[in-house]
Parts: sequence; C-alpha cells; structure tokens
Amino acid sequence: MCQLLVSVVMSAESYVLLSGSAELSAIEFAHQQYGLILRTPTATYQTMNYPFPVTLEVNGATLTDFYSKVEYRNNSMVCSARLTTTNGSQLSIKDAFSPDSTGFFHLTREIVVIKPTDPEEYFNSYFGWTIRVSSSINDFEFFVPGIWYKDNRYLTKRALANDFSDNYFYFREDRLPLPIVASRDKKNGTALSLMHIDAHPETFYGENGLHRIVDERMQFGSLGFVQTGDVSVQFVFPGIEGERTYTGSLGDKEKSFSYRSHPARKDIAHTYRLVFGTNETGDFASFVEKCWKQAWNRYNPPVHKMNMTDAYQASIEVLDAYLENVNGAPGWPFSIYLPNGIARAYNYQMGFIGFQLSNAAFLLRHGLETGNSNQVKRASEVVDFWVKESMTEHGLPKTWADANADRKHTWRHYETYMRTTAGGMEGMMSAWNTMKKHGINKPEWLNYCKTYANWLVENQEEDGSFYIRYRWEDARPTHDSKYTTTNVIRFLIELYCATSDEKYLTSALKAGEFSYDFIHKDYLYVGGVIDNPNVKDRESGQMAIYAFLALYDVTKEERWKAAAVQAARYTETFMFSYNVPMAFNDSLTDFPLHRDLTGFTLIATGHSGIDNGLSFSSFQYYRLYLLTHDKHFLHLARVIQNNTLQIMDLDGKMGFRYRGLLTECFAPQANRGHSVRQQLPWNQAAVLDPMCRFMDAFGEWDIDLIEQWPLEKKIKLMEAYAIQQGMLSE
Amino acid sequence: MPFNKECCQNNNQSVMKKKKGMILLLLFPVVVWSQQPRIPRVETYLSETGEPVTALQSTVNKNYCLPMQRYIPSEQLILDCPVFRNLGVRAIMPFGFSLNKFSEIQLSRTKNNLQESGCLPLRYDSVFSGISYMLCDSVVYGIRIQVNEGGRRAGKEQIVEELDKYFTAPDFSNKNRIVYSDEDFLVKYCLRENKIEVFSLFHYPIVESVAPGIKQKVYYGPQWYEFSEEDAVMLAFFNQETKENNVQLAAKLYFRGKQLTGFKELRFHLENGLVLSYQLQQEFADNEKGAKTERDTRIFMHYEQLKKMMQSRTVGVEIVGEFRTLSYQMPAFQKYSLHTAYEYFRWQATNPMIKYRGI
Repeated sequence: MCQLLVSVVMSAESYVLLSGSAELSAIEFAHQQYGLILRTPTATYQTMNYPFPVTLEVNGATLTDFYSKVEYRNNSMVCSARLTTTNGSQLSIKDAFSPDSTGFFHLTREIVVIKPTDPEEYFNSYFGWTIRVSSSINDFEFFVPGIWYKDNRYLTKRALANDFSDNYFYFREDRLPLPIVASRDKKNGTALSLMHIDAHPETFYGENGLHRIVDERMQFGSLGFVQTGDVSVQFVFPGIEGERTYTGSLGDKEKSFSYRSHPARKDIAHTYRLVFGTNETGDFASFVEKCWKQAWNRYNPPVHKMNMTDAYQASIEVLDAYLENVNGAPGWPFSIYLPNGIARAYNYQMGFIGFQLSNAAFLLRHGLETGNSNQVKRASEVVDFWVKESMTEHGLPKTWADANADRKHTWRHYETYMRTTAGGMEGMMSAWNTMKKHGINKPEWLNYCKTYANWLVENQEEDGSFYIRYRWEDARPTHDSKYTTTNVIRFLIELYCATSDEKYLTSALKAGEFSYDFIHKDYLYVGGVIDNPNVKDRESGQMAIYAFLALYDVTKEERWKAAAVQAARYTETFMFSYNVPMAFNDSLTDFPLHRDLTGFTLIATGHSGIDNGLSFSSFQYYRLYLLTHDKHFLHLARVIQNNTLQIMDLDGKMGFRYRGLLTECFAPQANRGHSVRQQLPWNQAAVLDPMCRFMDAFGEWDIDLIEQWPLEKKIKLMEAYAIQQGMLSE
Repeated sequence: MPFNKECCQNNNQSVMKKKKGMILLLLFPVVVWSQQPRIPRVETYLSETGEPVTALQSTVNKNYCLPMQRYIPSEQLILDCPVFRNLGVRAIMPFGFSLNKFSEIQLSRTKNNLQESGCLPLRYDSVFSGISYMLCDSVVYGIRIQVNEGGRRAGKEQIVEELDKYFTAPDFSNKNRIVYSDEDFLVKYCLRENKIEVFSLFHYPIVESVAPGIKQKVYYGPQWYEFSEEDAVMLAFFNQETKENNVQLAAKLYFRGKQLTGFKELRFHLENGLVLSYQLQQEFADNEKGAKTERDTRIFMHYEQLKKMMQSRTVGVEIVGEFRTLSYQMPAFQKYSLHTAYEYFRWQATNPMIKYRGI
C-alpha cells in the first residue's frame, strides 16, 4: 500500500531545485504532506526515515513528519512543518534549500519551540539521506577526517569506526578537523558527502561524560553514518556520539552513546546550515581530495601571521637554556613542566620524542652562524656523545639513554625503531653538513651514519622493507609490521647525496618500491607514532611525504611525486582547518584563549589528541606547491608555517619561563584546550626543522617573502636543493 | 629417593630466577610507561584523572584547615589571641584548638566542613558582650567578638587605640571597616555591625578545587583589600597541581566594584626598586542568569619571583587599568597567601636539577 502510494505521488512532484545535473524535489504524498528526494545522474536518494523528511528525537523517542508547506522564495525552496510532541509541545521547522556549488544543495534549518509544555522535555534534530536501500557498511568506503579512512583496518579496538557490526557511527564535529563526512560507493565511485557549514561548535566547561546533558549552550553537531538495513548519512544537532565514543571512560570492548540534547524551551537557538551532494570519484585518494577541498574552500582557514625570526630566536634560546651535561651525558630534558619551565627528567631519545641530534644540529648551526663558540662546543658534545656511546657492534644504535647524577649514563633496553633512528640519523647528517659548510670536517659523524646505513643495506628484507623495530642487543626484529619502511628513506638519500655511494640509493629505492606497493597503493599510513598502537596516523603520512619526495628528487620519476602528493593530501586531513572554540566558561585552558585552533593536528586515529607536529612539514607542502602549482598546497604551507607557532608563548601572555616553550599535546574536544602541560624536545625540533630546510633551499624562511620572488627563481632554488637534499659532498 | 638439598636449592634458585625475570618483565613496561609523558589518549587521560563532572560549571571544592597540610596533629600550632588582652579578653579558645565530640559548644554546619559556634556570652567584661568561633574540620581558625552595645562609644575608641598599639597602623580603613594584620593575625573591625573578627592566618582554610586533570590549592586569605565600601580587590596566591608532580605557582585577582574593569597589568614594586610585572587579562562571561561575571583570572608566576617578593620587607601592589590604576602596600594577610603558596611549592615540587647537579 505504501509502495503504491509512493509510486503514485512520485509523479505528482511539484517543487524542484536544480544544481548542475542534480535535482532536489519536494513531492506531495498527500494533501499538504511533502517529502524529499535527491536525484543525481547515478542514483536517487531518499531522506532518512523516508518518506518523512523531518526527524526529531524528543525525550529519546523518534518523532517524524512530512513538510506541511513548500514554497519558492527567491532562489530557495522553503519547506516548513509543525510537530507536536506526546507532551503537547509544538515545534516549528523551517528548512530552506537552495542550490550550492555544482551538484550540491544548501540547507538552512531553523527550529523554534513555539509552545513548550514540559520544562523537562529535551530534543535533537536530524537530517540525513539514505545512501542506498538494503545496503551495509561493507558496500562503501568512508572518509571522516582524522577518524575513518576507507575501511576499518589498523584501528584500535576502542577506536571510533572500528567495528563494522555497529549500527551507529556518529562523530562529534568538534573532534573532526573539518565538519564533513562522506561515503564512496565501491561499485561506481559515486560519493555522497554531508557538511556542516559555518559551524561554531561551542560548548561549556563541564560538558563531559556519558550521561545525557541537556543544555542550549551546546552548539555543536555530530556527523556520521547509520546502518540499519540501509546505510544513511546523518547530521544530529546537538551532537550525540555513539555507539562508540571517546567521551567518558570506556574500556576497549565497551560501547556507549554520549547523549547531548537541547531543552524544549522557547528561547533556545537551534539553527544550522548543511551542504550535501555527490561527486564522481575515480579512486579513494581522489575522493578524499575532492571532499576535503570542498570543505576547506568553504572554511578557508585563516593564516595567523607570526614572526619567523622571533620564533627561531625564542626556540634557540630554549635549546641553549636547557642543554645540560649531566655527568658526561649531555642533552636536553625529556620533558619540561609548563609554565614554570622546570626540567622534569634528563633522559635522551635520539629522535622521535627526544630529537637530541636534530636539536644539537640546530644549536650547532646557530652557534656557527653567530660565532657563539660555547654553543658550538656544547652542541658538538651532544653529537659526540651519541657517536661514542650509542652504536652497537651490529651497526644498530641504542636510542634511549638515562643520565645519572651519581654514575655513568645507562641505556634503556628499548627497541630501536625505524622512526627513532630516522630522526636521529637525519639530525646527525644535518650536524655533519652544518660543520662541513663552515669548513669543519667531522668524518666520524658521517661514519656513524654510514655504520647504521650499512646495517640497513645488509638487513633489508627481500621485498625492500624494514620491520618497525629491532632489539638492539641482537639486531632481531620484535614486531612484524613493515609500514614504517618509509621512515628511513630520506636519510638513505641524504647519505647517498653526501657520499655518492650507490648502495644507499639502491636501498632507498627498494624501500620505496615496497612503500609504493603496500602504503601508497593500499592507502595505509600506519605505525609512525610509535608510542601509540600500530594504527593509521598522521605522522606516517608525513614520513611518506618525506620519503616519496626524496625519491622524486633523485629520480624525477612522476610516480614518486604522485605518491608524495597523495600522502600530503591524506596528512592534511588531520589538521584542524576551522576553529573549535574553547569552552566558554573555562578559565583553566592551556591553549591560549586569544588564539584559534587552525593548524593543529590530530596525532593518530583512536583518540583526539592534537599537537604542533605538522609544523615539521611546511617546507614539504611548499615544495609540493612549487611542483604541482596547486595553490591549495601554498595556502596549507602558510597555515602550517604560521598557525602552528601560535602555541608558543611568543607574546608572553601564557607566562612560560621562556617564550619559545610550548605544550606538547592537548585536546580539542573533552576538556578543550587542556594539555599535558609539558614540552618535549620534539616540539622545538618541529619549529626549527622546517626553518633550517627553508634556509638551506631558499636562504629565507618566510613563505610570504619567498612568494614575492619570480616563480623561475623559486623553482631554480628548489631544484638546486632537491638534487643534493641540501647536503655537501663528503 | 634420598633428599637432595643441593638439587632442591638449585630448583629454588631457578624458580626464584624465573620469578625475578617475570617481575622484571612485568615491571619493564610499567617503567617505560611511567617515563612517557606523551599521552596516547589525551582525552581519556584528562577525563580519567579528574573527578567526574556532573553538574554544570562544577568544580569540586574542598576546604582544608591548615595550610600546606604537612603539620601533624600532635605538633599543631596553637595561637592565643593577645590583641585584646588589655581589654580583658583572656579566656577564649586558642586558634588551632581542636574541638572533640565531647565539647559542649553548639556548632551549626554552615558549608561543607566549615562550621560556626553559637554566640557565647562574655560575663566579666564591659567592652565585649559575646564571642563565637569559626571552625574548619573542628579546628578554630577565627573568632567573632560582639562589641558591647552599652559601652559602644568608649569601646570603639579603646578598641582602635589597642589595635593601633598592637599593629602600629591599619592596612586600610573606610566608613565601615578598619582592618589590621601582621604575620599571625588579621583583625577586622566592622563598625556598622559593631563586631570584630579575628583570624589566625596560619589556621585559615585553604580551598582546593578539582577540575579534570587539575587541582588548585588556593589560600584566599580572610579579607579583600577595600579601597572604599564599593571597590575592593582580592589577591590570592595558589598552587596548581597536575599529573607527574607538575606543581605551578600562580595568583588570582578578583575585583569588586563597578568601575574596576579594563585592567591590563599587575605590578609588584619591591623594596630594592625591582618591579615585577605580569600581563592581566580580565575576561567576562555570561553566567546562567545572563549577567556578565568575571572569569577566574590566573596569573602564572615563577618561584624566583615569589622568593624576591618574600624577601622584600615591603611590596607595593599596582594594578594598571585602562581607566584607573590602583595602588596599595601589600598587607600582611596577602603576603601570608604568597608565603603559603611559596612554601607549598618548595616542599612539593620536584627540582630534578637537585638530582643532577646537587643544587
């Protein structure tokens, strides 16, 4: 009967909006009962809870209805409805649809409680489309920035979107770098996306935990998918998260919703704007690129201009202040309390968190350039310490030392990770190169790199891979993951540039082949954040950019460039590109209230911790702009270069002991802006590494100044850098 | 089979070795983990390390009677109140005195662990007529003395004379209040209410508030600094504690008064001419009733700076505003707040350089 009714009224549609070849129709099912249909050349979409276009949840129960009135107004189709709850409250809904960019439509929804009856009553509103009738999650690929890439491989048990047997996949938008979700049909590549535009996801301090919270001050939504026989894409306001959530303390196997609702009161604001539509996409990578850019262009993240020179000087000041030689073991503390700047513990990691060698290279460089012999001496001591003390007979270095006041330093039985050695060895190369540029040869420093590189050459697997970690005591792998093979490629190429020894290039190319087949083609950027589980993460994306770009530099093969571009597009989707404001009544945030969140990046899937880690990559994004002429990369490079510096205390407002200090990791969602309140050495390296690379390549570190030069000059300088990776010959 | 002691010992040794190995194996990840400040799941950490927040805008507040919490009960400092000895006040309960359940003094619970006694008549004095006690966790930290209505005029002059003699000069005075303090006591003479409050600064409660991941121990002290009946500031020093023994020093600044807005800078003028300066950011937010209320103003400070303030005999406080600048000499009761925060930091904060450099 219902089917018959629908088929009859399908011909009676009376209101239509066009956007490109897409068509949005309001269909009159019965007298003053209108529903919605979205038609594209490849599919027809029904609203969630079809035939009803309006869905509310009132006191936990679903309330649906038709529009009672539709009219054209200007260039819009305005649909309205009035719903009465079981308690007798009345809510009016006004949905104004208009064409957006080609193939997309724009919805402005306004809900007003016109007759409240029960002060305890609460509600949520929903908008969504059924993607395909009688489908399951397995029929699609998904893109939810920072959370869901293609499938559910390499996610922790507790991660959102981990379990495809779940019915609900709602994600709070304040943990999304941009408020967009999209699905891609595996059969034909058609992608349907839903975006919250002009989002200003406010909340208040205390909005936390799993219990239902009813408060009009919550102005954030949730986006996501539901599979209940059909798969649909939905927006919920205010944002309910579930059936998995990071809000509250849940174990790996526990599931729960965290319910958030508005009170059914007259004076509340319940208004939002959405954009939805379809794209035809050739593969998952182009799907991500299209969807992300649509949202990016909509939000157009601002560049908060910072003074590069000031940030550099402040960072060097930090390195100078905290370098201690503790009983013959020189280095920087593993962490520093903020804001008082007291060092917590002196133990040293070669790369990754500790970044001892890179920081030594930065201080060395500054000392040499300014004639500060004390800095040169102290930084050289750090490098010498690693050269003399860390290498094993196998050629695999120990990577983590403890300084002791009453005895010689000791080495931790901490496995040697590719990630840690890559950072350390690149630091060593940089230190050697810096000295060489100033006429001081340090062959023992370069030999240290060769020793490790020789070990890599000799222990590379036949498929070109390396395992994620090895036990330094016997040089045996202790984990079977190979996804961090990318990590050492740039180091091998830098060493090749310095020594012209082909075996390092051959090894790098072999590792590149493996990475291309199993990381690039599979869209699997996994395991780079080695103190997280072996999951999809942002830093693996960065490592892949460095690796593929270095391979392109020495081969000029287009596929390496394409792989670098894909990795860059993946990585940028972890970066907050719109502002999530701090909870308005929270006076205890560590993130400065006068700054905004754009430029800070989710670290990995499985949680919503963010940091300044993308700061490392402004140089590569700028290079990708010069290589591809995609202005999006230029915009991105400028955002990264400037906005990531916002968390330093350059203006002194945070009262940190040194202006160059910054907090390591903080939260954008629960307890927004609260952090670990400690700085780690990698934070300083993240600021200084791109500055030094810009200087090596362009002799200038401010992108905005470089951009004033003629294009030919920029490209010429970049190519000169690329050929040698900024390295001198041995 | 004969009993083989050596074999048994070897077996035991082997078992012991295995056990030790197991313990070390179990201990290793714990040690590694404990050295890892990089939190894989920051949200989880933040929500799990704080008290669950169920009410809107709630922080859990607790009052503790003794500053620093490190004084054991048997060594409690008991202070008598010598201020009014010349006026015949001798038989009051000393500050720090702890009431037990057998006490006949009637207490009324006012707020959490803060209590007050009823007014006890003073029989043998004509200047004062009654006294009541303020207690925190049953420990006396303040008294309220009712001035005898009958001898009011003569009483006031006598009282002020005695206070001037004892404290030398008031911290401030206005139409309704005269306030004196030294390193032990604060005396607040409320002229309109005809009563005197005396507080032991040592025994005055500190307030601990617990937000997710953050503890604050604040010594608000017993008094605002009043410029007039309408305008006043409260400067309170405190310690913020977060995970891994991260102890910070900070101050809060509150304002009361319609014209006290737009403050930009807080300066401390020390005796030796040194000026310590801090940027201020007054922030306002809508409260639930729609009115604008001032947010908590947190100013982080470094312990060397507090030490310099401690060492200075006088500390001039200057609050520079867009429209108005306030200046006053930091009274003893505010300096006590500073002292409390500084001492707590000294005893609680870890300075790893002591470990590494022996300083």
